[in-house]
Amino acid sequence: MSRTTVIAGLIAALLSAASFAPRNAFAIEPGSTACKSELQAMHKKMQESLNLIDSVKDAPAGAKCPAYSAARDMAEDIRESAARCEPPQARTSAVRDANDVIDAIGKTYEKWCPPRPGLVRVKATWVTTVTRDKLPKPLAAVHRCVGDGVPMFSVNERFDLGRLVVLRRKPT
Amino acid sequence: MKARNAKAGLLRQEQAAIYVTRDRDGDDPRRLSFPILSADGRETTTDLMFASRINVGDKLDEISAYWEPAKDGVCRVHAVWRVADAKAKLIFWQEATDCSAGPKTEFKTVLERQ
Repeated sequence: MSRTTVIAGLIAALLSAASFAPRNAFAIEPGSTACKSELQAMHKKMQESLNLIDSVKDAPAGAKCPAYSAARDMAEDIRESAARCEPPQARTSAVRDANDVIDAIGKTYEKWCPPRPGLVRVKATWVTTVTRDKLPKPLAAVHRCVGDGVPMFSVNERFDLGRLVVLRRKPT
Repeated sequence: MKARNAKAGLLRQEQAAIYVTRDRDGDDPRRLSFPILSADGRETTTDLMFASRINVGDKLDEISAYWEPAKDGVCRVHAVWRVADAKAKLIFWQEATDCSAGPKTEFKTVLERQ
């Protein structure tokens, strides 16, 4: 079975699971109007992602790379929506399925899109500078290590069923 | 320093708070507390970790870290935690007594849990 078929299968399984996932209309966040709308957009994006990967199934390697890159970005967005808006009983499997899709696309990308000659592929962790008043509100409410205006290094990366956020005071 | 089991220079430079959140927007933030072995070998916890020394493990629910400890005769430690429901469990602890080989440094496993 080709990697493309595996990815298509994973996305299809994710799409299927999401379509039949029970909805808890009374939960404040996952059941909100905004979340319902986000989940609808997520389902649309899943289908677009599936179509995108399918469209380059027989294409030359050069055409596959941008498609796989875009599909990976879409999968990250899909995971984000699932993590934020799926009701608790569906969230775990939806996020884990999305993790599988992201990893499968990543492996396929590495197979078809090798580094350019003289370059090597590295795993990058993005570090940004942020002040407490610019932190996402839920984090700002609990993080009391620094005052407003004091710069921090921040990392926000995919982790298990959500994100791992590292906040470190920037040396003065 | 002995309780945190880290060199003084490291403690001065790299104190970071680690949170798990539901999404990129930081919803439902929960701060992690990390069980470690202190310099005298007792299990203790810290809610500050060394920012540039931690990595998400091969498995997405694991965090690993390497650092220079305060324990006499040990030049580097390697710890792995598994995180579930915002609780970090120490599942692996290794110590090295000779770090001259750099990346090929050999570690002795002190603690291993499933």
